[in-house]
Amino acid sequence: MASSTDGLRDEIVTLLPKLRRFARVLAGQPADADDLVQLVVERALMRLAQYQPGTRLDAWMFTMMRNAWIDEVRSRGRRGKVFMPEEDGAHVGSDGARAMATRLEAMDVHAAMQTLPEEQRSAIALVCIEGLAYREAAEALGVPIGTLTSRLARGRETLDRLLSGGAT
Amino acid sequence: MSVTHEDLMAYADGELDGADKARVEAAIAAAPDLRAVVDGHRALRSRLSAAYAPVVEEPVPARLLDAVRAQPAMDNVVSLGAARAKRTPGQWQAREWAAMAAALLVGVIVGGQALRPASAIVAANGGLEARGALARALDTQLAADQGAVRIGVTFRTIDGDTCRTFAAQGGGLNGLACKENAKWRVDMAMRGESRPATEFRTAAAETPPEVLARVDAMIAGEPLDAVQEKDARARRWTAPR
Repeated sequence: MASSTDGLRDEIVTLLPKLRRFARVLAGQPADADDLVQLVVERALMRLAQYQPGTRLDAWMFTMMRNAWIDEVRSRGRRGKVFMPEEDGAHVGSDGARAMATRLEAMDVHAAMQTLPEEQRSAIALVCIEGLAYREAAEALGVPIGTLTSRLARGRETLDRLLSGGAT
Repeated sequence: MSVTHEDLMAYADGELDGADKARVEAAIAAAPDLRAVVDGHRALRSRLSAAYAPVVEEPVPARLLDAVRAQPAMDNVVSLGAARAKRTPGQWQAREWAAMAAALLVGVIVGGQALRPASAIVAANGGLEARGALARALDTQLAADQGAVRIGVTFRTIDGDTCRTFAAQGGGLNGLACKENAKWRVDMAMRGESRPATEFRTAAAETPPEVLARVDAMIAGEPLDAVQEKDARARRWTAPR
């Protein structure tokens, strides 16, 4: 049905903010993140016929995005490199003190997230930021629930350590 | 009564119900310092969502909106997946697929005898599926094996699927199939020049450039080597974890 494809495109438009957010977690840099979103949108449109109606479109695209990012990192050979989100830093000082504190806090969290191995970062992003249930996140990452749970626990432990002493 | 660290985390994330939830709540009642652990998990969770919340509020760049509205690029006329994505879907789709499958089957019939034409590739579930001898070869054969069907490259896609190139009928039918839901979805198939069956060729030499171009477009990393290929077969072509 032509209308179902159009409907899916509309749905993808409404998902763009969330896709950008997950991409930001994966890529760190806003420009890289939006490139990743664009790539995944193009791939999703190519593979729309493979999407199973009734399943979560966001989870389907998160999976695609994560795989694309792993591939990108592999091809660039920079796995594990820690990024500082430069735009957050660049804008500090242009707002009031309260907004600045929020940005600094956000920068801490972003920087801490970027130190995590990708598999823990993805698990935490899908559950704690995107709000997927464990089962949904495990499916999106293609791992058993037990694996997801241990990645979540390890990632949280590291974040707690890195962020302790900061604002709560 | 014991609860693990992961139980407390799952409880904090609202993942537990019934007996598991009651067990954790009883443990917290008995040892109030566990409450602090749960609160800590929840606090970190709110901190994470707050840190990334501004991204959702940002205006979406126009290029991303344009990308959603754009027609997908047609990367190769012989790529059925791309052709399908480009064509405006409609009620004709199933019929077009059937026609395409029929056209391919003609190739099989002209090409030779080893594959039963009616069972090689069929239209199913809005796409093409390998059946019969072709599906069996895709399931069981390694690149090193000889047979009526030759397997070329086995590789993983960026989406974690496992795909394999194949040549049947001494090169008369070439293509690429990916394992999906226990079936081999034929991503691409094309007629090639039939070659004498006695002539030895490596699988790579048999693979037409159009198929290789499609592999390049889909592949993540390197193709599987012989060991990885065997390993993948043992796992029935699902991705390793």
